[in-house]
Amino acid sequence: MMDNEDLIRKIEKAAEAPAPAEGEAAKEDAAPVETAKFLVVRIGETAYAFEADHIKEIALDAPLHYIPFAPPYIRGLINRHGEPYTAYDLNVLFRKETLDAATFVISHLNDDRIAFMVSDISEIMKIPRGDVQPITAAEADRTYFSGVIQPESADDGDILVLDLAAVMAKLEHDLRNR
Amino acid sequence: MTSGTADPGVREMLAIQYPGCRFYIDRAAVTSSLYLEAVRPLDAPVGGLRERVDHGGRPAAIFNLDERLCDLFGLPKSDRVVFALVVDTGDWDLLFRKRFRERVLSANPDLWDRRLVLRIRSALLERMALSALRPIPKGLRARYYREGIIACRFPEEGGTAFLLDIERLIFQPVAGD
Repeated sequence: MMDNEDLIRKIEKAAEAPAPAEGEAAKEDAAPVETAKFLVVRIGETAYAFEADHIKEIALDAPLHYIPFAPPYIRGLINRHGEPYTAYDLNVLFRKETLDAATFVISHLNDDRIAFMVSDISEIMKIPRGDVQPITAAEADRTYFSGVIQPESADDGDILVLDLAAVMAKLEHDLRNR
Repeated sequence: MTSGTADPGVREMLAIQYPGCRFYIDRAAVTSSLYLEAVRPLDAPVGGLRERVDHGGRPAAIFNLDERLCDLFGLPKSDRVVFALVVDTGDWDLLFRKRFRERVLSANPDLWDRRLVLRIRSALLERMALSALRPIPKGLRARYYREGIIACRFPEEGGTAFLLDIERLIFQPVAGD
């Protein structure tokens, strides 16, 4: 289980490190490169990236509160400062396996309060927008991803960028048809 | 049962407590309460209606709200649920009353057509500021309103509390839609 200190250390480390793309751009005095910031997390064994602009906070050790009528990838509600957030388990949506975790990435998107259960917070990544590639991996369900990031180290594997609007649309569809 | 409160921002709620979970029903939706005695099976059980009890000199159908809540929220069941709330269905949705006539009264013609008795464990009267309640998150809201769950809160002592719309909550098991 990650504690607050561990999380803070990772975030501070990421903030201190200069983004390579920006550094290169400054040296060459070239046209400014549009950058994008992502929060990289691990869900099960797989790395995913949230657009940092969509993230409000990270909740650690948040208990789940069961709710009925929801599809299996909705694990319940979590309480953040007295407000209910819909808790998504994307591992159920992507892999049909329930995740055992209590860390949540909290988002406030389209006036909805949503939280995503994650195994671990990996890093904050700032990269040129152009480095986000279209989805090409045959095994990836394109529906829920807006692109893919290929880290410098090939050992790390590709990082799928989550399309939160598509995930929310899936819930809307499922609730309408259940 | 007592009357409502003067402050429009404060409502009297009936709170039904379960382990880790609490449900609120607007006091104004309930006409009276009673201990269930001399309960008999309905001549023709329909949906969630399987029993009847005399109330005010007339037989009224009993809906087992305790069982419905336990089923929906995965709560432990009890076979000693002898308290009940009485609701007036006279101003409920026209479709509900139509279905009630077609499905329930046609098979049990002596039942009171505008009273339902809701079997519950117990209920405490609470005055609650509406500001203490929170809307269901937007993505779930429409569906939950339709199912009769209209707001929630997280009590200081832990767990979750839900404000229920009784009419919508029992619509499907009684009216069949």
